[in-house]
Amino acid sequence: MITPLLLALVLSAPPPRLLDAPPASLPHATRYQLANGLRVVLVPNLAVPWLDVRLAFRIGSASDPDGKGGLASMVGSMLTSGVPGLDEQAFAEALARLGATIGSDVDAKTFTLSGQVTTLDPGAAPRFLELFRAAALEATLPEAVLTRQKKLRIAGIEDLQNEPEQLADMAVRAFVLAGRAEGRPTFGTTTSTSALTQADLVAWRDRALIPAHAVLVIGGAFDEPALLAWLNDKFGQWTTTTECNVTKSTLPGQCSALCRDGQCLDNPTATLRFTPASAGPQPSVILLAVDDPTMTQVQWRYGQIDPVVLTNPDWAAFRLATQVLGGEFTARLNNILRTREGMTYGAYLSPELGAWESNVMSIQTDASPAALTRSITIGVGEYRRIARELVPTRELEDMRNTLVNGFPFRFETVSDVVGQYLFVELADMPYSWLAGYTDAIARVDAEQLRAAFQGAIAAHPQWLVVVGPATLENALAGLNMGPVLVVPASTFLAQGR
Amino acid sequence: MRVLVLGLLLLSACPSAPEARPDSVAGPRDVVASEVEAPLTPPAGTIRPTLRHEQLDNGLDVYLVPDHTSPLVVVQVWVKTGSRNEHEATGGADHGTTGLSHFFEHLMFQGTQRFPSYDDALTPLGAQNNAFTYQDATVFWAYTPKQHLRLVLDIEADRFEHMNVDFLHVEPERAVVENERREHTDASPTSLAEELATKNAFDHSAYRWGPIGWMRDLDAITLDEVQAYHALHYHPAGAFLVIAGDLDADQTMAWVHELWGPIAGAAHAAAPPRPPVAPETWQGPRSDHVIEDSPTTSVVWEYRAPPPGGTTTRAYAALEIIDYVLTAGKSGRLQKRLVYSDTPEVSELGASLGTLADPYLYEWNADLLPDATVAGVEAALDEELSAVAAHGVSPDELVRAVAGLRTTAVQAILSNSERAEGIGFALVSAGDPFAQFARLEAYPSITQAELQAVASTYLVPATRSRVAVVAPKRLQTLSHLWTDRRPPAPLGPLMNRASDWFVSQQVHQRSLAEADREERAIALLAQRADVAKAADPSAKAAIDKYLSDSEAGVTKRRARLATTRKALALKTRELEAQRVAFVAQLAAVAQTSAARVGGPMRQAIELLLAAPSEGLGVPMPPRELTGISDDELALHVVSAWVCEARGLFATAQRARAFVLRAAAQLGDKASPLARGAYALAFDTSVEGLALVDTPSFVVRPTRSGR
Repeated sequence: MITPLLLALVLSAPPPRLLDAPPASLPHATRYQLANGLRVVLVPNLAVPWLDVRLAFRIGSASDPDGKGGLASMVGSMLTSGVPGLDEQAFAEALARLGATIGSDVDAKTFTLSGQVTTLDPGAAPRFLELFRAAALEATLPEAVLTRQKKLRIAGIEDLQNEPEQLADMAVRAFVLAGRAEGRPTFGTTTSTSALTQADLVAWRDRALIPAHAVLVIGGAFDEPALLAWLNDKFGQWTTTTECNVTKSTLPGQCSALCRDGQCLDNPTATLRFTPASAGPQPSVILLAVDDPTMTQVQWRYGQIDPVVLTNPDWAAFRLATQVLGGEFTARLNNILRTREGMTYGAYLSPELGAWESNVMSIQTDASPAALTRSITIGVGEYRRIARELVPTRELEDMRNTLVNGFPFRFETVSDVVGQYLFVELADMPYSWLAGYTDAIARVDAEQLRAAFQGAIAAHPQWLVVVGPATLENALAGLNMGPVLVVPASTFLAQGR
Repeated sequence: MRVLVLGLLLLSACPSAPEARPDSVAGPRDVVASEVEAPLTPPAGTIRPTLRHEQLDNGLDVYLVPDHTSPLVVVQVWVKTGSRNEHEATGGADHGTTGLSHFFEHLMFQGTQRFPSYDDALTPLGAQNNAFTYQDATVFWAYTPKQHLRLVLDIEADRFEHMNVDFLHVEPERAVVENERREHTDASPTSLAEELATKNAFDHSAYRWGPIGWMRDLDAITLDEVQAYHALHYHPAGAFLVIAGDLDADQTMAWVHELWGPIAGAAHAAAPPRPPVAPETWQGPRSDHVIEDSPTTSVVWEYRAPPPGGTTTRAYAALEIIDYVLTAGKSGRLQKRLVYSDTPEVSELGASLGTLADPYLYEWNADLLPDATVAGVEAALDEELSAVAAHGVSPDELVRAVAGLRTTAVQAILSNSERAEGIGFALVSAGDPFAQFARLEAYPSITQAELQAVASTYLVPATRSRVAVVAPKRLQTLSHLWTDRRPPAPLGPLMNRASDWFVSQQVHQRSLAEADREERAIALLAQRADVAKAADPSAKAAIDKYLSDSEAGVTKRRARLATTRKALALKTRELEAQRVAFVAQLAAVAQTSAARVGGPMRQAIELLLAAPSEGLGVPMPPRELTGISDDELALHVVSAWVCEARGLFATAQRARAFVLRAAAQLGDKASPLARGAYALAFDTSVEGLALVDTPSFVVRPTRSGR
C-alpha cells in the first residue's frame, strides 16, 4: 500500500547539491544547487526578525522583442497581479496580512523578484514564501490588469517630462548604446507599451523565467536546514521544457551565456580590448528638448560605453579612476562644480561596473541655463584630465581609502549582504573576487589608473546629452563638441531614440 | 535560538541531503495559512533596542545604542532647531530668515581651524556623512568603521563649537543651497504645489514654510544673521547625541565626556524655548493652484493632523492605521479604487504623515490620468474618509494595518542609522526615545471609536488645503475649444494667437522677474563683500578673487545677467511688436465684419492683449445666471486667467466663482465649451460641482515667498 509518507518520498525532489561557501572574511552564506538548476544562496542572520528574499534571472529588458519594449518590466510589475486561487486584490490582502511586500526590479540584463517580511510572527515566513513562490512561478498575468497597467505605465512615461534627471539618465543610455537592445528604456516607450498583449507576457515569462536562468538568495532569520528543505520541496520541482537562452559575447573573457556547463566563452586571460568605435559622422551632442522655457536647472550627462568588465584585470584601476573623478562628495567633479563654483547641488560620475559589455558610465550633474556651457566645459575637462595626468599621491591614497575602509558598509544589514551575494551570482564572479576587492584596490598605482581610464575613453566616443529647452541649441553648438541633434522629449518617450 | 520541529519528514529520508543538525527535523508539508505549524524561523525577541542615557553637566543629552552585528558606528548630532525657528519678513524688513537652518546645516561642513576640511578628514576613513534639516531639528550624522569612533566624536564636537563662519565660507554654500532649491523645488511642479498647500494650511505657524526657505530670503541672509543663529541655537543644552553601533558603552561615554563636556553652555542656561505653534482654526476647504508646465495634473491635499506625542499619541496611532487602510499596497481602499481598478483615475497616489512636535499635516498627492478630474478624485477621497468616520475599518483591515505598521517598525531597526534616527525623531516629537515602540504596542488596542473620532476631527474638508498643478496650455486648449466651432468665428484664429501670445508673455514675465531677482541678489552679494572686507581687511584679496573668479561671484554673474537682459529686451520688443500687430488685426476684423464679431470673444482677446502697463477693462460677471451664454462663460474664464496673472486676485476669484456657479446651474445642459471652460482653465470639473457647490476660495496671500 502506498502510504502518504511513501508517496511523498517517491514524489520528493532530489536533494540539493552543496556548492562552495564564501571565505571566512565575508559574511557566512552557503550555496546550493537544486536538481532543476536553480542556485540557492542562504545567508542566515538571526540578529533581526527579518527575511529578505530575491529571485533573480539573468535576463532583462534587452531581450524584449522589437516593438515590444517594456515587456520584461511589465511582466515584473504583474507577477503580483494574481495567482491560481487568488486574484490581484486577494493576493494583495494576503500579503498585507503578513505585513509583507513583494516587488520587482528589471534592468537591461537582469530581472529580480524580491520580497521582505518580518518574522516577529513565526507563522509569517512560510505563508509569505508560499505567496512569493506562487508569484514567481504561477502568476496568471490577467488581461484586464494588463489593460490597466498599460494605461498607468503610459501615463508614467509621459510624466517623465517632469523628471529631467531620469530623462537624462535614460537618454544618455539610449544614445550611447544606440543600436543595441541594452540601450532601450527598460520600461519601453508609450508606443511599445501600447503594443503589449497578454500573449506576449506569457510567452516571455515562460521562455525567460526558468530555473536555469535563476538564482535565489535569501537572508535573514531562518533555520537553514528547514528552509532548504522547504525550498527544495517548493522550488525544486519547478521545471520547464524551454531551452535556456544563450547569447554569445564578443568581448573575450566575458561569459554572457545564461546557462552553465560548457556554454561560456572561455578566455580567462583577457586584457582590455574594445569594440571599435562606429564609423561615420554622428551627432555627439543631444538636446532632449522639454517644453519648459522657465526651467531653472538643466540636467546634463557626458558619457560613453564603459568597456571594463569585472573579469578584466584592470577593473580595479578603472574603478579607482572613476572614484577619483566622481565617486564621492570630495571627488573632483563635485569638488569643483559644487563646492568651488557653486554651480550645482551635486556632480558625480556613475560607472556601471559589472559583468556585461554594455554598461554605460556618465557624468551626472546639472546647471542653470546661463552657466550650462561653463559647467560642461569644466566637467568634460576633468573627464579628460584623469586620462592625461597622474593623480597626485595624497588624492589617490584618500580615494583608495574610501573604497577600502568603506568596504564593511557593503555588509551592514542582511539586505546589504543579500545584495552583495546576488551581485556576485548574477555577474558570475567567484566569491574570491569579492573577498579580494580591497586588496585589488589597494594595489592600484597612479600609472595603472591613468592607463586604465585612458584606454577606456579612447575606445569609445563620448556623448553629451542635455535635457532642457530648445533655446539652448545655439549655446551647445558653441561648445564645438559636434553637431547638435534636437530631439523633443515627448518624441523620445513615445518612440525611443 | 531554539530550533523548532517542522512537520513531516520529507528530507530526512534523503541520503545525500546536507548534514542535518542533530535536533532538527526537516521538510514541511504544503504550507497553507490554516495549517501553519512550527515556523521556518526562530522566535524573535523584542525589537526595542537597548539604550543608555546620560546628560552632561553642560546640558548635552547622550543616548547610546549598542549593537555588535557589524563593525560600524553612527554618530548623530541632533540640534533642536529647524525651520520653525526662522521668520518671514515682517514690517518693513527687506528679508526674513527662512531657509537659514538648512543653510546653516550646509555651512557646518565648511571646516574648522583644527579640521579645515570636514570631508577630507572623514572620507578617507571610509566614513559616510551627511545631514538633514526639517521643521523641528537639524541632524548631522557620520557613519564610520568602529575604530574611528573617537576621531569622529572629536571632529563633530569641534565643528559644533568652532565652525568657520566668514564670507568666503558662507557665499559658495549659498549658491549651492539656492541650486538645491531650484533643482528640488522650483523644477518640480508637484513640489511647488506641496509648498503652496502647506503655506495655505497655516495662518499663524512657522510650519507654513519648508526648510528650504524662500529664495528671496536665501539671497539676502547676512553673515551677522548666520553668526547670531549659531550663537543662539548651537549649544549643548539645545542638542543631543545618538550613537549607535559596535561600541563599548563605557568607553564611548568617557570619550563623549572628554570631547563634548568642555563645550560651554554659558551663553544660555537652557536651550532657547521652542517657538510656540498656535493651533489652526480656519475652516476650509481651501483651494489653490500653481501654473506650471506639466504633462500631468498633479494635486496635493493637506489635512491637519495631531502630533505623535503628548495627549494625542493614540490619535496619531489611529491616524497611522487609517493611513495604512487607505493607502498601503494594492489593497488600500484608495489605491484599490483610484489606481488598481478597471477604470483607474490616478497613476500614482501617495500619502505621508508628518512626525513633528506640534500639530502638522497629513498629506495626499495624486497624479491624475488624462481623463480624470480633480473634483472626481477629491470626491473619492472625501467618500472614503467619510466612510472611515462613519463606520471605522473592518477587522481584516485592522489586522493588515497593524501588520504593516509592525513591519515599518522592524525596518526602522535594520541598520544603525535607522535605529538612531527613530530614536532621534521620537525624542524631538514626543520627548520619549521609544515613542514609536509605545505606539507599536498600542496599535492592537486602538478602537473603532478612536478611528472614527480621528477621521471625523481631522480628515474633513474643513481642515483641507488643496493645490492643483495647472498647465499654462490649458488656456490655449480652452481657446481652441472656443474657436473650434461651426461656423468658424471670424475672430477665431486671432483668439488662438492671442492666447498663445499671452502664455508666451507670462513665461517672459517670469524670466524678467528672475532677472530682477538675480540683480538684487548680486547687489546684496556685493554689499556683503564690502562689509566683510571692512571687517577684515586682510581678507580683501581673497574676497575680491572670489567675486571675480567664481561662477557664483559678482563679475561672472553680472556678465551673464547682462547677456540675459539683452536677450530679454529683444524678447520684450518682439512680444510688443506681436501685440501691436494683433491689436491692429483685431481692429481690422472688427471693422470688416462688425455684425458677426461676438462681444465676448473680442473682449477676451482685448484682455489677453492688454499691454502690461495698461489698466484692464475687466468685464464684471452679471448677477443673474439665467441666459448666460457659452461665450460669456469662456470670457470670464479668460478674465480670471488674466487677472490672476496681473495680481488682481480678488477679481480673478470673482470671475472663477461666477463660472463655477453658472456651470453648476447649467448642469447637464452645459455645452462642451461650458463644461470645458472651467475644467480646462482651472482645477475642477463641471461634473463634480454638485459636491462643492459653495467653494470657499482663498483670497490668495501676497506671493512674497515665491
